[in-house]
Amino acid sequence: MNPLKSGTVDLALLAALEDQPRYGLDILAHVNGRSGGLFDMKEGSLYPALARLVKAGWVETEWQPSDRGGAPRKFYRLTDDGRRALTEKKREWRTLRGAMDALLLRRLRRA
Amino acid sequence: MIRRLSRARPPLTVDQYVHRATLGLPRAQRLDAATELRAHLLERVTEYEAQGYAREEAEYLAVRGMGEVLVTNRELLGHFFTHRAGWLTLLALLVIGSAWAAYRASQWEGVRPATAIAEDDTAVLQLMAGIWPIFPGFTKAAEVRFPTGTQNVFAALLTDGAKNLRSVRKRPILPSAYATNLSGKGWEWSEADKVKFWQSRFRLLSAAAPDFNFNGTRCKQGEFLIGNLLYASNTYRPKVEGVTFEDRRGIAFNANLESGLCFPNDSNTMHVHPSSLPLNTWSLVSQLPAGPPGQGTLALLLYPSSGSITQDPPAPEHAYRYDAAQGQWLRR
Repeated sequence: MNPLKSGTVDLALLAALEDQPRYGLDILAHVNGRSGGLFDMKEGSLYPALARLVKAGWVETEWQPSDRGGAPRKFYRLTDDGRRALTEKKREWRTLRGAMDALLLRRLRRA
Repeated sequence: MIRRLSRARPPLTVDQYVHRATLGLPRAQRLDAATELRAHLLERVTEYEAQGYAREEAEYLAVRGMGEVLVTNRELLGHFFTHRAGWLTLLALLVIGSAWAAYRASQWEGVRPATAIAEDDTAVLQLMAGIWPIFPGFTKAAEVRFPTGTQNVFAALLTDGAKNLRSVRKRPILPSAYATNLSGKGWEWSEADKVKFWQSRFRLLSAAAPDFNFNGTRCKQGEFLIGNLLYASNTYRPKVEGVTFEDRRGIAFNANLESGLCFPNDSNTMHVHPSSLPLNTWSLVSQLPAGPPGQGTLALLLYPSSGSITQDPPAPEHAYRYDAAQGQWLRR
């Protein structure tokens, strides 16, 4: 399993929050599950990354009681700026992916 | 390849992990992060316990899943200087660094060409009126600090190409002979006193001035009167226990270094040379470049000695020579 590269962490986290607010463990489960286990994000690195998004104004937080009756959970929700940032990062990602595909396919043909 | 075995560290408890991961964060941020991390860990512990693990094992697995606590702590802290402690640390480092730089700057040794200080240099020129060439336009100034351990200082004047003049003049500079006033009868300079004295800050004025009447004698047409003056102003008054240096118009000490010499050169003024002035070494301090062919050139050298005044320094003419091709005095 590959660790999630730092450059793509923001995109992965923003994408995880695109549809609904989530709390830490839920975000981890979503990212690791949707990537088919390809990404292995260390749990301890999740919260600093989320804190960075909060500081950037892309994400806001709210403490809510746990539905299991345990400790309260801190939910993360995309802000309007966060949605714009996600859109922009998706566009950058597609551009990068297209460029890499073109590069790799040409190499493969030559080989 | 040999891999060093690292000592196994005991596993952290949930409390220890939360404490170390949030160490250094501002209070509000630390409480918020600690609450969230603890909630995360406890939920993981509950999951592992539901799978049949004992509490201690579940706690161990939950903490292990968080990864290296130092990494989490560093990432939570973010940029060092986003926190007050970081800025305070930087400020402290700057203060210490500035103090150190100021200390080092105050500890420099050697000769540094300097612009004339109106207050100091005017005072010494007025004091020396009539006995020293006073032509401010021809005078070059320098700051002088002798190296640590200097007990005696010798001055030497080397000449080259000047007829009817000795090529080498050398003599010690005697602080006791030039100090303007010594308090305490029968008091004599000890070695420690001399070392203390020569740690003072001095100034040097070097001049080659034309048409100057020196003690009733005027140099011939085409000659400069040479003047080299080492002095201590009141600003940097020498501090030697038991000695009082009288304030004579703002000057606490002065010593003529081969001044009053009529020299056959009227084409240039003196040039002061920066030098580190190493101990027990002759160093070029100022020189009068050679004029047209047939006219001479001279160099003023200083020798800070760690030995007694009776220990003659090496011959200065063996330390420097005049290179006619380059037109300057060079160390041999």
